Amino acid sequence: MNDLGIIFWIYAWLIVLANTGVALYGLITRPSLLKKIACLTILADTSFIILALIGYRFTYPVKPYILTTWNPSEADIQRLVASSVDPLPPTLTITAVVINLSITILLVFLAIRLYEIYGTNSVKKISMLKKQERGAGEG
Amino acid sequence: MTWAKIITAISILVILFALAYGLFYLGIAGPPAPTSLRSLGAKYLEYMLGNNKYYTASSPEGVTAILWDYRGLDTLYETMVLFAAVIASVLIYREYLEKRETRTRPRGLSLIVRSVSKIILWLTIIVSVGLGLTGQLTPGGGFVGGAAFAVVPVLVLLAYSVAYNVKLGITKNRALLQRTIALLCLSAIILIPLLFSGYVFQNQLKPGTSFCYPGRFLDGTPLGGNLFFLNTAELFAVAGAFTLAFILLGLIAGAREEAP
Repeated sequence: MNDLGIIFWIYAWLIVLANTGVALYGLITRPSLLKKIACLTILADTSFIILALIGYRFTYPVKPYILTTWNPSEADIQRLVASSVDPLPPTLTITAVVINLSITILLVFLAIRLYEIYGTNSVKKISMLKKQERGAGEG
Repeated sequence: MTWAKIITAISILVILFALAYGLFYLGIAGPPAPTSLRSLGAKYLEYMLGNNKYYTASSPEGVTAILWDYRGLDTLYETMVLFAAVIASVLIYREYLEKRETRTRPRGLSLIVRSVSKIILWLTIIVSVGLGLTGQLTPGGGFVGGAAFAVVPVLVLLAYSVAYNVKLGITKNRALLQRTIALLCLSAIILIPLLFSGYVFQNQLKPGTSFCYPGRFLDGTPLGGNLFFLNTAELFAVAGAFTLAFILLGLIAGAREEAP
């Protein structure tokens, strides 16, 4: 592997770390539910990049995990194994993408319902309103 | 700066440091910048269209072979999570299930947006169905195709209106029906081998049974056994589920606009 490869490798992992930091920061500090959902999506997408990086290999030529002949000989298969990227991380990525999409839809529906009930998407305001409700109920 | 903010910043930094330490020093993600393939991935690639009749998935595409054959149960449970999530989101707004779509006002964006989206609409349909049906040959498959197909109702919803979706025949009841039928087909494909004394989720020939899904089309194109059928069912199931969710979102937004 040449120097350019190493530079790219370190750069990609630094981007992953930075993305994780941004997503965690948003998840923890932003009170808006929509921003929390967006940050959760960023975190999920970062994990897809991690999977893609884990599955990549620094060889030349690097190919996708597809046999281009439909009646492959043993030599064809060995040639694919010698140059292909790992097929398992992309599989996990597909699984994770769909789960992420469905969970996001569920969270969006919940956020809309909360907005309808409380008139706001901020968790801080919602907890304040909740306290007021409880106070009114006791009084 | 309050204490809460300082603690948050420190905890995020600690998490990032732990992640970096694990990745770079402990090598959790494997050796940095690997030049060779892991043995598990290499085995999958060797067997997927290889000559071993018990191990083959009869598919030249690695990801689909792993997704629906070698790690099929994994994908089955993932499908269950997907549909549980969609059903849960629909149940949160169950009152809209009885509501008719046509009551919302037919509105839309400008002529330019509508004309452009009409072209993109057809392109999306062709690409997504192509992705779904050729999943055993090229990258793609049911999930990818279905998720791409779900863009169609969103595009119609944004450029035209919910009412136009109804005019095109995309309604939430049909989406629900499509999703249910597709899921039943999926379970049938998984259970059919049992009728012929095979195994659940069996694809190609396995020891102790003579059952085998057809590995090739008549012209010799790899069919991947049940991979093609599972991908097709999954395409319709995922497209139906997401269409249902997006139409409901459109209805909720429409009701919000109509409310005084």
